[in-house]
Amino acid sequence: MKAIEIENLSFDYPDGRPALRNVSLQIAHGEAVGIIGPNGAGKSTLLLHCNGLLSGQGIVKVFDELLTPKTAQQIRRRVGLVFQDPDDQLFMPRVFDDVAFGLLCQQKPMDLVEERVAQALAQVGLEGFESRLTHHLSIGEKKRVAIATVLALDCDILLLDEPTASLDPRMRRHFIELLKTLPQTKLIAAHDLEMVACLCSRVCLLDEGRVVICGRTDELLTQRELLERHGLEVPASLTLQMTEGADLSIA
Amino acid sequence: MHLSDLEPDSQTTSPFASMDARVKIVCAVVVIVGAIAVPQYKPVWLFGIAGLLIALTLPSKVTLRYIAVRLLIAGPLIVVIAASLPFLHGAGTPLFTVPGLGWTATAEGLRTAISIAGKSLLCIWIAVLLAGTTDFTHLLDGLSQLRAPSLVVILMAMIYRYLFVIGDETLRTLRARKSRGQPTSRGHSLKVAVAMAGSLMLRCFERSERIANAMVARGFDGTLPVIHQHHRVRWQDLAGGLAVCLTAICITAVSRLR
Repeated sequence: MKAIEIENLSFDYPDGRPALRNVSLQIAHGEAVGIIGPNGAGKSTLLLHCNGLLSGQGIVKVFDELLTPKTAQQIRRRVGLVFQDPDDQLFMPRVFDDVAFGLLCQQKPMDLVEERVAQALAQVGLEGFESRLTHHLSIGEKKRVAIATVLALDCDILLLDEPTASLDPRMRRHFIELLKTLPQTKLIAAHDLEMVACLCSRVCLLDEGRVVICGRTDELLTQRELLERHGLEVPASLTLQMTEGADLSIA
Repeated sequence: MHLSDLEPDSQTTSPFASMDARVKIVCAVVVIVGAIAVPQYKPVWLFGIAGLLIALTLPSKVTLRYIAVRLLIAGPLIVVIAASLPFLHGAGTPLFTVPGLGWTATAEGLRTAISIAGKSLLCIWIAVLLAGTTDFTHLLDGLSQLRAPSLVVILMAMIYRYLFVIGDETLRTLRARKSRGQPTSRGHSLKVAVAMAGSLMLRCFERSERIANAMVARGFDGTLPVIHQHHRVRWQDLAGGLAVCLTAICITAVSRLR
């Protein structure tokens, strides 16, 4: 079953600059796909389209349902978007209020809201953080709470924009481990190709708003020339394996 | 240093910190109304309200500095308004005339000025005491439970949340400016400050767009959700609140009757 289906999607920024050009992409249910590319390639713009926050020309379907202004609200219940900067995602002063926000918008009963908030926080390893103030959290904790805000909605699809940006190596490793445990379909826009290699079975390379190539992660992320031509580099772990002539399977 | 480091410890350590926020808000409103209701021509009765506030401030662990700094922020505005009042009262016992301008201050005008300045300072003191002894999120809970308009509560929540984000951003910008040297003249300094303010405003605008997107992405459709939790007020809090309210009401009542 296809979780997301994008056909010939094009979008221009308000100043007329092209952001996406004839992007077509299919993501199967349960799959984790990495969207990679240089700055300004259109990665974040593509994610915003999958949640209906932007609408360009072309077709976007989520679980076979066409994304239109009428269906957007319904589809957003199944598609959780996690922004790059957790200070954008977490707009309420207290962790509980933030994680509960989406559920309260859906007018869920309070006991269910409390239960789901506790579950979502437990899922990201932050049990008992309900009453903590957001501005007192570390960046790693904020990122986890940001994930919890969409997990509480019981989404089927997670759209993650640069999930490991600004994290120190240990926090980044923990975060990758956390994302590995999440069973949802994942579309991850990132520059962190090591993380993409760890999490995604398939990768799409975007540049200047166009899909350059889509393919298996282990095949695509080892194409040095291709990656360098589009402002990227082969992840260090794969470079090491390549120089040692080892099997290029990704852990 | 982060802006959040400036939050007073008294918000958590004060004996009033655990008091129900609803009781504290109602008390604050009653005392403010009480102070305002003291007759303008009897400003001496404001000392009664001030005495009540001193009695509440002493055990509260809110420092004098914390209150004074906040009173000083509002001070200039109060001074400007109060300084003009003795000349605007109209008829009354003349005290003196400003040479050259011909403005005459009256005794009644002076009394009104003292009264309004005193009331303003007392009202700010009450608000500072409330903020200094209450975690802001408890205040929001209290307002929400007292059925304050949800738009007001959510806006206050978001302002509080982003005060620290924008404050930290300002501190980083100031640090970046300092690291590249100080402005050479007052004019240059002003130019840099204006440019910084402009850049911060643009960043805030961009952030507000991203926040709006984050809200819509989680199902926000224009209706603001507010949590109305119902907790019973403890009898100790009720008794304390009642004592404060009755004291304020008595002071005001006596000031109006005598």
